[in-house]
Amino acid sequence: MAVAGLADEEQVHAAYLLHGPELYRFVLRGLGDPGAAQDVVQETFVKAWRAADRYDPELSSLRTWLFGIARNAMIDHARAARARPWQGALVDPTTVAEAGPSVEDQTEAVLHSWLVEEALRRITETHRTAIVETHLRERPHDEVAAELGVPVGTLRSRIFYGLKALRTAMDEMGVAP
Amino acid sequence: MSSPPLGPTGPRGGHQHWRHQLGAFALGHLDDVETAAVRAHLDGCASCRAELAEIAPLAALLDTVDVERFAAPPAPTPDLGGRIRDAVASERSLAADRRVEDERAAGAADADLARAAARRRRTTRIGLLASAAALVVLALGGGWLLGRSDAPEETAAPRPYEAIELRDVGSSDLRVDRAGVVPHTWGVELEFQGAGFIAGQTYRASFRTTGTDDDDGLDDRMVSAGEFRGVGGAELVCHLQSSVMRDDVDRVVVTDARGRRVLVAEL
Repeated sequence: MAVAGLADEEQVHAAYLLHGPELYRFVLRGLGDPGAAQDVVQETFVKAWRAADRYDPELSSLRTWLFGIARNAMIDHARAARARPWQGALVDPTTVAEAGPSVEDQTEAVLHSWLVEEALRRITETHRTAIVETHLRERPHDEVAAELGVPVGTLRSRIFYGLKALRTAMDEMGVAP
Repeated sequence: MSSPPLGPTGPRGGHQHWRHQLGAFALGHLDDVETAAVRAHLDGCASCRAELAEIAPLAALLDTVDVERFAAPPAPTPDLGGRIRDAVASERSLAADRRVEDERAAGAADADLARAAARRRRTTRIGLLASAAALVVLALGGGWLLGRSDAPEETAAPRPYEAIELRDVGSSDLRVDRAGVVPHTWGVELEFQGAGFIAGQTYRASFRTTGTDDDDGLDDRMVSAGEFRGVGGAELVCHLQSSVMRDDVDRVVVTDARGRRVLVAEL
């Protein structure tokens, strides 16, 4: 099992320090429950360690591989949460089964929303500020430009290059918008 | 959104100037006059159209971002990394113990052909389990298999089985048809057959070790025997294995995904 930097608990811990917080935010977004999200993150790293001999760094980055495991663990968890006994007594089993794909659809939506947030954290502060202040906070360009001490034209070019950087970051993270 | 005169990032009306407006255009920040002017440039500029196509899908995604949540990202509790390290360490040490026992069993087989033949017969049965998991869950109604393929082999001695009473201590609708523990040379195994474990939910089994005790019920005496996944109303048969010895344990506990006790047996 000495493969891919997950050979023992120290290497797994190192991988957690690199990717754990980001995985946690991803799973928390999907499940909404901090306790459940931490359980799923723990399960993700233990499963990754168990399956380390199946990981091929030439096919995907460790990060991408971990996210694949986390995504499946999260879907399993969401399905299990839906299959509580009192629901089973009230709901026709086929209805519960049909909820499967919708769990996956929701996961995709969660994935994209989370992804743009994480990508936004990866671009430069200058680009991020331009996008956050003008778009997320919906502030007028002249006000933001004055606060930053730059011409409006400069602010606009930062928004443009910021969006290009955001797109690149998302592509590098493995999912295109 | 109101906007001041365009800045001199390029000659007004020049390609670079309009290119720099594309971000604000894609995000819908420009007023009508500016929007019309950018559109006019786009009509005649294929490279700007290509760049716009690249960034345009981001607008809808950015609209899903909650600015307050973005400003204060949630973090896992500080001990999560340590918990993960401990979980891997304990499972790894269990796996290492099993490898040692496997090697010993192989040596014994070489020494005694008759015993080896007997073990091959048993291994056929054990192999069904081992091929899927060290922790094996056989769901009669279809189900899940978890774990690794390094379950230890049996020794040649007859297999003792000690029936136990595995009581439902949660408010759940679990049913246990039979339960017992099997002492092995490499540790103790819990076997049980039952139904009503929530489909897809992960359950964990642990043995409580005897020894120094402050009787506070803390986990430091609990040793994992692995985990299994519920299959709802379908009946399942579980074999859950631990590295502690039978003589060193006095209780077995099964907990649900939230850590609540659902089954307990005093040994």
